[in-house]
Amino acid sequence: MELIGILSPMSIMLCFLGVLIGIIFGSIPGMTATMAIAIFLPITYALDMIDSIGLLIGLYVGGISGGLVPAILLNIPGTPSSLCTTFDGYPMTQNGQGEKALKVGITASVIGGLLSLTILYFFAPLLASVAIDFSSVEKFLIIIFALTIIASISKGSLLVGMFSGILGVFISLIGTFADNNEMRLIPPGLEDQLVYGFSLLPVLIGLFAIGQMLIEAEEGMKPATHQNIELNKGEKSKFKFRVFKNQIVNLCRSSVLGTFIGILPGVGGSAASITAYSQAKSFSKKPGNFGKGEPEGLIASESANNGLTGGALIPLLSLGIPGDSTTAILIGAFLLQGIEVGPLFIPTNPDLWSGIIFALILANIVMFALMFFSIRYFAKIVYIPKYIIFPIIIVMCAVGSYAINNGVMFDVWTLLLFGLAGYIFMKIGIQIPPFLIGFILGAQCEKYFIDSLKGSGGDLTIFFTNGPVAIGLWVLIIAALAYAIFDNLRSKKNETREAA
Amino acid sequence: MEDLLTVELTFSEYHIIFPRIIITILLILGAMIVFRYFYKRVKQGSSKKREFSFFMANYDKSKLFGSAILLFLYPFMMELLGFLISTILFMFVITLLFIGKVQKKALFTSLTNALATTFVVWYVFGQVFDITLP
Amino acid sequence: MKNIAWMTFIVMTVLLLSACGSKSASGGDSENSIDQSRVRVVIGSSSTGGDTYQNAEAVSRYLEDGLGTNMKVDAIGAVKAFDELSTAKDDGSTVMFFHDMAYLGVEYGSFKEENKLENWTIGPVVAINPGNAFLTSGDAPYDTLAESAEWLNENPEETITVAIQAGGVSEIVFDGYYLWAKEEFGTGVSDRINVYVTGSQEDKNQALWDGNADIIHGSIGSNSEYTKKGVEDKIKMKFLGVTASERVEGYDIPTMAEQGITVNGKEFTFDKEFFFLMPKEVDEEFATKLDQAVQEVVDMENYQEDLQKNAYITNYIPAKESTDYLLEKREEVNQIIEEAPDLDKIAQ
Repeated sequence: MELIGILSPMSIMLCFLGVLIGIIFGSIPGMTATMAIAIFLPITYALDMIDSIGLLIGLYVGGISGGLVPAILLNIPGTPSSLCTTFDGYPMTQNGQGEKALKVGITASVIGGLLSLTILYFFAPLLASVAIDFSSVEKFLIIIFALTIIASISKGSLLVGMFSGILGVFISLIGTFADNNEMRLIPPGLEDQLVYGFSLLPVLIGLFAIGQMLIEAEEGMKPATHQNIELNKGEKSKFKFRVFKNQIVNLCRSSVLGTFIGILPGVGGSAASITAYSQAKSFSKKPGNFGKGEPEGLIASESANNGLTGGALIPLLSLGIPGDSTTAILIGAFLLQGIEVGPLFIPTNPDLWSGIIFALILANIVMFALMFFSIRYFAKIVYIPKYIIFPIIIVMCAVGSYAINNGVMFDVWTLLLFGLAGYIFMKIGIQIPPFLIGFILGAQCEKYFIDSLKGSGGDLTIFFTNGPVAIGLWVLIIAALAYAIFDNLRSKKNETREAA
Repeated sequence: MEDLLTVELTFSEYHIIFPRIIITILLILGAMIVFRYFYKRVKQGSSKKREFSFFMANYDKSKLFGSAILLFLYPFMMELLGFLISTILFMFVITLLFIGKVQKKALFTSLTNALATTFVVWYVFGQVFDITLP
Repeated sequence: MKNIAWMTFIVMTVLLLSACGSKSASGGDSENSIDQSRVRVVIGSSSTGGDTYQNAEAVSRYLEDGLGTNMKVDAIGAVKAFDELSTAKDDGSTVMFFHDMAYLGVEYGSFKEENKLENWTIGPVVAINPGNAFLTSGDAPYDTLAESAEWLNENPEETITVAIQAGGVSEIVFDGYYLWAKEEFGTGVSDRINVYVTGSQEDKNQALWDGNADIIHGSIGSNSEYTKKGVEDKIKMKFLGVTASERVEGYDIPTMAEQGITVNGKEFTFDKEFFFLMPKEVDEEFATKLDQAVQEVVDMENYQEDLQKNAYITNYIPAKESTDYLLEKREEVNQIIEEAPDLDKIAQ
């Protein structure tokens, strides 16, 4: 009843619409939740605050969730945060479990989203206050911790995987360092185009979508094996909620991890699903199945990236600091209405605050309903002949790349360049997922490294002496690395045994 | 020891501290990979030469190079002819190339795919959502 | 297959027709109507939460009617915006909206020399953000900028670190503070003023909370929430002074000039102003119409109220006078930049 009182029918409708459009944006490679919100931002001016909140929250939740569709069905992450979804989602499709994978992903998403908004509702001010205590030192260590996943997802040679990851970091450094406006590492002649470096989205979809298209073209665009098999192969491939029975711990851990990383301002959203995936693998009873179509990995990735939604809103609403790039645009919506978001926002705007919570609940439920029951039709995408779907994907990617920075042709070139690079990488053995993770986290890693040193006057011991949290993070980093090396050796041993 | 643990920080050189560290790590890892490669070869004896060919056997030359060339022509076309015309042309040719044969049905499919996608994208993104198109 | 194809054709045609319909329905009847159906306003900031976007968005929204066109604000960042402007057609289909950083960036070396004011047609000045300010943590032993330098003078063991962004408005106002402290109290005090160079407002706030900075550059719009009663001590801030020439209505924050801060014997003030830039050879008719339309918008009460919401005020300077005005402002700023400290020496 209260729901109706606070959210007008108009805002409920707009929320519905927002989720739908968000899902579409999220599921088109090259379009993101951030972009959807940026597009609708000017429109919200004409709406009431509560209505525009409904619309924008809907877009946010829908956009983050939609990314799983192409990640699972086409091996192309629709948004950066669904990168880890491809690791196990696409193999499931190849095994004939496409529909099951989608349903697992959607269910994990909605649970992640609802858990995180519960955390938002009950603990927002408290957690925001904790988040402020995370200085650049701890943020740097968290990024390093997220980077350790490079070691655990390296296929085959650990050394080559790490090389790929560091290469990604290196490429991400090309451009201008923000603090002193100095350019570095830019090939001569490209100063104008690369002044801000390569944009993430064109790199991401270039490596995945265009690279893959070139590989397919080389093979002659033959129908893939999974195009001939059913989406629901046999009893084992049916989706049942029972899949989640043994996954409660994984679900909670991943959602909470996603929420927490969302809370930390400046630590990007992609880090959430990356850390959650790597934790799920470390704690799993069958880490060997990860990367081959293990629902556990899919659950971790999806619940974490929806967990992010509630998390990123925590510092925004209780401090006025956006937790990720999407909420940074959301703050613009408040400002357009002349509402200041800051530490007193929740106590001074109780109606708006409960409106946001209700909009989040509604958006999550609508997202689940819309996707879960329409997924059967979505899933049919895999049956579309490649000669039709690939040209469409390319055009979408080109439009998305062009639009991501509001109309820059160089981003289309970036898309093509990294498409070619992705093709070459696959040929010479450079591993794309580690490369991308390095690329996504590289710039933040540098920022917090330099910020820490600015604080300490260049003293490197600051990373060890900055208090118990830093020490705890070091323990986690070392444990993760040791585990990855151990795991790598073990799987190598298994392979040789099988070969013998 | 203290020198080792302290980084010289100068404002105008903030931007090269981290890249230097990363390049060093890259070079070390690269050297290790090369070393391991030759070490393995020596261990296995040089008789067994590893075969490496960049392209797969019997690869589809026309589709691979055709699509690569088309991809790189596409942005040029957009700058010259605008989004609508270049996208229709691009979609038409690349769909036809991927089908791989020029028949009435193939032509029809390509044309439909080209026109439909282009107009939907142009209408939905360019007009309804007001995204700046190329 | 064929059915689907036909269906697509039909849907497409309907969409196309309705799109054309909606196009022709727009278009104004005002005397200032221009030919372009679409004007792209590129801005010098890549954020949609900042004051540049808010001002650009507000003025464009009202200009649309006056000019009888659609205006779209694209937040692509300064370097790319200049780039777009230099390759833009001369018909006014692309214009730029930015603030003083447009020339400060060139003077400080952050932007290329080709982007200097002389290479553009300067449009009208539209608005001011008068809330450009310095802040410190709530429990700091000083309440104004002037007091902070006095405090340094009285406590020779102490230092003050100021968080700013290089190459923009925050650097020039910091330079003013620094040069005044040096003039007033000598190098004994100014040598103990350091800077913590960082990017966004969030980074500056965090620097204050981490204890890496003692004073930060900020604004009423983005920081006043932290200064209110009831905010936790840990994040509480207080204003030390605004840089504009006049106080902001409704806020009890003294200007730097009121505090007696002078540079080279003149009161130090800096108004952050927003203006249009157009290609050098822009169509004169378009430029005139834009100027007239801006003049009309600035007089509208609704527009003024919209700006008021975020504590901005209108400040119309016609295109005819704006060029001289900004060139003169740049001249004054240049004197300060010449004397300004090298960031290499004062950054940690």
